[in-house]
Amino acid sequence: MKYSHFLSLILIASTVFVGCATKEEVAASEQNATMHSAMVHDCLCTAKPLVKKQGCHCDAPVLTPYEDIRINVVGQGVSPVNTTSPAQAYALAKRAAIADAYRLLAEKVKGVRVEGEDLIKNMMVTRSTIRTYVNSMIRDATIQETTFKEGLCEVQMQVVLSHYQFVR
Amino acid sequence: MRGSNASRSLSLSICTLSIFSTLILADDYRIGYRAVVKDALLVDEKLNISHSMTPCIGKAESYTVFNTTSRDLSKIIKDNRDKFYNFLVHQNLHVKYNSKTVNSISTTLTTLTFPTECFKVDFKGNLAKITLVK
Repeated sequence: MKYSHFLSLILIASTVFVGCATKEEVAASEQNATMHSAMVHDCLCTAKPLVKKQGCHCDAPVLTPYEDIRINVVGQGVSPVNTTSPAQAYALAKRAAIADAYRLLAEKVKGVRVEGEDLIKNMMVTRSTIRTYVNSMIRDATIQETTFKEGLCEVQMQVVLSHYQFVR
Repeated sequence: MRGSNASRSLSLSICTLSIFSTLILADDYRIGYRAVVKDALLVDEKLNISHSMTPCIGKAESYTVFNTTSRDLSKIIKDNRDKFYNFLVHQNLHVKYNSKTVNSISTTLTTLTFPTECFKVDFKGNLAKITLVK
């Protein structure tokens, strides 16, 4: 009985002393907090020139009033087998390549929704399904270059993101 | 005095006539486009052109000019297909993409849609100016 009282006293005392912090510790923790908030502010990467800080991701393109972001993609499309002329094959392949380029632009600007599903039967994967979706609207994309070689058409497209487009 | 009045009325009537003739020559069309690409192959493409039942009301957004003698917009676009598609890709295009990969075999479907918009077409001599109105 005596031992249990003694133990409980020790426990209470240790909890009280561990829970409390000295003035120096409080000051250090406050300094840490201000440093963290300063780092978070720097992580906004709005300053020019962009300075890479530890823990920040300033390498990723950030839209600033000073410079535009140019997104370049190369879309691919193939011509059908049963075309009447090379011109028709080129035209059809180019349409397909433009659609592919638009999809790539939408993927880069807005992102992709991905869903996966694995069916496991008797400890073996019998069916693995991955579905991806992109749904977006692209404006002011420009065709930079078009190449057509051996039934494959490649279209290089560019979209420019400016700060004023989002401000207005 | 009388002569200056006469010349003023003549210039006014010429201006009115030119404005009316421009209005008469300008046609309003509704144009929509859709392309479906399956596994990098164009499987369906539709370009819908029709006369607008109501006048185009709004602000002129962008335009393209074709050198043609025809007054038929379908024919003009058919003759200058590449230029028109280059004009279309600058506008708002809606992209819808689905891909499905089952046991490492992938199928993709991309739908590119230009929602039906009102276009004002002005004919002047050998030129046809197509303006998107929004």
